[in-house]
Amino acid sequence: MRPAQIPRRLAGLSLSLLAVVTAVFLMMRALPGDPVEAMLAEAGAPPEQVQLWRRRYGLDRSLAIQYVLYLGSLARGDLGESILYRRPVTTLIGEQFPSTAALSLAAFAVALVLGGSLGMAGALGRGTPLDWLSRLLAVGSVSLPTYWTGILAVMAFSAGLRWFPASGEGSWRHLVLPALTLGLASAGVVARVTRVAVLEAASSPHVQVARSKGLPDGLLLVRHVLRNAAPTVVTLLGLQAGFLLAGTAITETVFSRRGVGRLLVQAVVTKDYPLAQGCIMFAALTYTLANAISDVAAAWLDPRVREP
Amino acid sequence: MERGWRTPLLLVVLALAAVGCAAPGTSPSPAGSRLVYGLTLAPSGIDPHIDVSSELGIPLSSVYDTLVYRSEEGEFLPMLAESWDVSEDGTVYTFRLRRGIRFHDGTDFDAAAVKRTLDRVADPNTGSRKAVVLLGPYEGCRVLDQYTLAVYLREPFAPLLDSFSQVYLAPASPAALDRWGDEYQFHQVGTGPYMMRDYAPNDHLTLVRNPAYVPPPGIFRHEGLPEAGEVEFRFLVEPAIRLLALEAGDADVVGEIPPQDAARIETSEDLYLVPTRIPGLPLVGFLNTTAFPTDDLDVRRALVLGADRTQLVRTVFGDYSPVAVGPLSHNHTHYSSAVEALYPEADVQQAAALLEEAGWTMADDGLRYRDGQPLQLQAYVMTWGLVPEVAELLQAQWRALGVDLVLNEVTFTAALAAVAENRHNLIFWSEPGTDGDLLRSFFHTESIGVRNWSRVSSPELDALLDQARAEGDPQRRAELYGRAQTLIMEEALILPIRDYVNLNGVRRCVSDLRFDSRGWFPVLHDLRLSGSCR
Repeated sequence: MRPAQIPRRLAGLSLSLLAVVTAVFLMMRALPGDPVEAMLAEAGAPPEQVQLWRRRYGLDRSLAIQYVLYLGSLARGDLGESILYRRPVTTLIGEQFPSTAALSLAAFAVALVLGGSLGMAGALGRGTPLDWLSRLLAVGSVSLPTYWTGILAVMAFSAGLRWFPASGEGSWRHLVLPALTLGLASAGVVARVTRVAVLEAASSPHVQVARSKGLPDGLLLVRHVLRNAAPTVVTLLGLQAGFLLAGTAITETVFSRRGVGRLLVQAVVTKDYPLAQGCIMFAALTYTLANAISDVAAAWLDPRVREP
Repeated sequence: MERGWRTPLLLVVLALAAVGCAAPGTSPSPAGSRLVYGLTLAPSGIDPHIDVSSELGIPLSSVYDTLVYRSEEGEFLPMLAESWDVSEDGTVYTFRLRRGIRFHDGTDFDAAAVKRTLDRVADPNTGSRKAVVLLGPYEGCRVLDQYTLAVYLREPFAPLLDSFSQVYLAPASPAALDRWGDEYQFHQVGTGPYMMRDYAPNDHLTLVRNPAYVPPPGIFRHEGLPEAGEVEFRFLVEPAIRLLALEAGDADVVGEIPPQDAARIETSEDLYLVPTRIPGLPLVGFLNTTAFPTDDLDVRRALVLGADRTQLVRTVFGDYSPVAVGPLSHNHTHYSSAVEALYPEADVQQAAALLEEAGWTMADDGLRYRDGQPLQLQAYVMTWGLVPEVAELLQAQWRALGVDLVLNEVTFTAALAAVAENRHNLIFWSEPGTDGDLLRSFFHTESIGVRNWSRVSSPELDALLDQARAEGDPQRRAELYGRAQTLIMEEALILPIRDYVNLNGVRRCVSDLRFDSRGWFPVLHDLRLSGSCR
């Protein structure tokens, strides 16, 4: 990406964010039910209180006015107050985000290391039992639901072997099982793509030429094969960021961790408009950012992408 | 679940170990008398004067003492109030407070503090969701002298003492309320045996022992200070993980263990089970009296008779829950045994006869029809508390009777939307509560549009509930609630399912775990630790 492209990129980014915001705004309202009524029914409060609460959250106004007001406060950087938590949405996301970030990054590392080495092992030892094993694990990891592998991991490593805690946060040890669970699901895809990319790069003419010139295997692999395979893998990792964000909701629930994923699920279930809108917008921003980073990284790795 | 999972598990373990999973040593074990208590729902907020959930009361009933204490027998004992009188007409409550009590922040507990708490709850800007409901027809209060307070009501409200025994109306330090404002939930200051140290939403809440606590006489079994120096509450929201967390030593007490896991606890060497009965509205299915075809009394009675509730409860909840017989659980103060005679057991033949009489005849497809319309019911099923399992079994049982039960699995908000449009025939709910006034919020005409999901409007029932609310004589109140319960069952407004029982799994290092009269709230003060927990 050249500097001249940045304004265009930013405009595109703003437009897609606006589209996301509008879609989420409308979808949340299309869900059946009223969050204020649900809250009152849970508490057994008399109906007179409904109006009070509806006014507080601006729900007594027309949809169009609510939308305009919402965009206005977004422009000021204000995501509103959560109906469920009675606190500013930005505060809530700010509180929960570090846990989600730690989990996603750790899972990302697992996916990269585990998936990358599996894929490479498969490509280099093509046709050997190692290749079969790597492909089997790759297929297995993408087909197993995160919820199931998570519970299995807790049974084995917490309740059974007592190596790691089953729930909560606090130390790196709390992060191991959730990161493995979430990373494993992503690792399968990374392994498959790495395997294909490495095989493709290895069979490309310039690698053949380099090999015929007698370049040692190690150098050949690092300088030519991996260099050529990396952009594909990096682009894929950018896309996997979206998957990881979605996966955190389940992983955070299974391991009783804090996080934006769990916050979003709660918000949707209780129809907490401001909170759900805030979480989804935040997720969209993170996802776009992750993609932009992977684009830049891919361009840095592969000069061809840099051409206009 | 038997031991069958071990072999595949071992394979997975080996496979993961093979791809380079490191295995460090055992977990660090901080010394001291520390207890980890697993909560099952992460409340959206834990300000007792504002928020609703029972989960907030589990830790906070040890942070706050209340004006009066409700014993397990349902008697009201002095706690922060030394004594009280109720005026002849039932509208003025005068409390004389204990002297020499201090809040955790060192400030004095007095009548002004109680007034500050009640003013806060009653102020519409506070946005109280539950406490304000407990105050009923509250008009205001007045400090008579430093340790005497009068509470005024617009009309007599007999449940008030029960309300004052709940943490939602517990007196808080005015200094802390002033200082923290909207952030008070993170810095709560009461007078109880434990002090709040920190609260991280969705993650944990920690209490530490209050070294200055002087227990009120005659309430706790254990003299002096509580044994656990620190209690950490963690939120174990996923039911499948609760038993595993106990087994892994992540938590020492965990509530709401799924019944299928309870059996494993009973055979465990390290764990034991403490089932606690929760008084209140049992798990019931509300039958809508204003939507076809449950608007017909014969149909509703046939549905109740045609459900084998014992089989339902045993299959889904095991042997731990009593089969419910009416709108109040067996262990409720105002429970009336008269309802037991109404639907003693399932009687499919009588149910079929009732349906025949009402004109519903069985067709070749095994369903009943009347004037070409099938006997079809819409149930709105929320996914908590094994309700989907109950609904599915019920569907099979009623199918044998020729009834087609359609299950709609929805969120609570979506269920309420269906109720608002009167699309529901059946909706499930349960609610803890120790006063009979609970019935009012489910069966009074005024509660239509809130929680009166049967949408019943009966002048007779309204009159009973209104009189019982105003009645000062406990004996007479119980009679009125007894008649209300009979009426509710005669009209078949609900299908009672099970009395709620909270299955607590406990590690053997913990003993003397008991719960207060509401069943949900542990008396942390009395709990003992053998020292090997952490």
